[in-house]
Amino acid sequence: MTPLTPRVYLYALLSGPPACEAGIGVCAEPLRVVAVAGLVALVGDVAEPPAPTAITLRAQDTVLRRLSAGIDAILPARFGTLVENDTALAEALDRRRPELARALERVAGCEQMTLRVWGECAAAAPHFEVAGGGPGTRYLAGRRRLHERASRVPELEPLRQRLGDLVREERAERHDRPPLLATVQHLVERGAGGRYVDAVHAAREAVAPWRVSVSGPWLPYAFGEEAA
Amino acid sequence: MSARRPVFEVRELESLRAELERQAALAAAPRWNADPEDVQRSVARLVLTLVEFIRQLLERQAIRRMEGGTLSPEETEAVGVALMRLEETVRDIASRFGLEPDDLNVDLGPLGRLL
Repeated sequence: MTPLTPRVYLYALLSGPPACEAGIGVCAEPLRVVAVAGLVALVGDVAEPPAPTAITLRAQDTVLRRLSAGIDAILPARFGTLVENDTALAEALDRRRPELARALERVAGCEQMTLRVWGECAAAAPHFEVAGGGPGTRYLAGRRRLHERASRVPELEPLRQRLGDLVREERAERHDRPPLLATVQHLVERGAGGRYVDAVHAAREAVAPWRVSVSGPWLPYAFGEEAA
Repeated sequence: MSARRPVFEVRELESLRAELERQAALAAAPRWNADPEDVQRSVARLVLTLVEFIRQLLERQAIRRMEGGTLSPEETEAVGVALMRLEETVRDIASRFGLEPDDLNVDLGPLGRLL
């Protein structure tokens, strides 16, 4: 049996070369920092991508956290992103250079905090009145409410007021599978995690009857969809 | 730095685990199974995904036009009924092949998921 040809495993895009040695990756491979298509990519050469287990996910996070300490922006790639070689990587990045550069700029100097909203039922959605609606009109109005709700978490309104300028950007995903109602990711300035946690805890009563749990800081995983 | 140690109820953790498992299943790479019954199911899944994709595009367009006031009440009703029946039809055919609504999706690699 012939051995598998190593391929290029993309870990992240960086705003510049890391301040420390690249070190080794999840598969114990030496990591490389390559400048391609006007971007800086952190890669390793592996025969197969690591299996998505809790251990490998944590290991990849550890690799990225270590390297992120000395750089302004890091955009984690989706776990398991593999391309044939450096040429294929350069082509893939070159095609999407503008949005990738914008995404790096967006997460510069930032980290991610994660909120989970718990409760037995979701907050009522704002009602969209449709005059004289038959079943088709009511169906469309219902779908409109559904689209609105998908990107909104009204349960957190009292907390948003307290978080104020701490939050630079938000990504929200509704689950509506009680008790888990929604996950909200916030992009905050590095080092602001403590103030963020304090604000969340201070808003506990205001958020009731819903409950909010907070974790972080994380690398900006939820804000790197362009690098997925 | 770590956030203050959160306290969770078992039900909350089970709910979170179920959601993570659902998302992991959605992200799993599709596999082609040569079993004849599964070939039919795979083709049905692909075709229904494309129909659902087009249905959602039409739906968003209809909602935009409804919001913009460029659809008359009669047109809104007619489009709504058509989209509602199309959704019912997609779900009905999907269930015959043992497909859940979450199954109607395609991973487009670097572009993300279709729906």
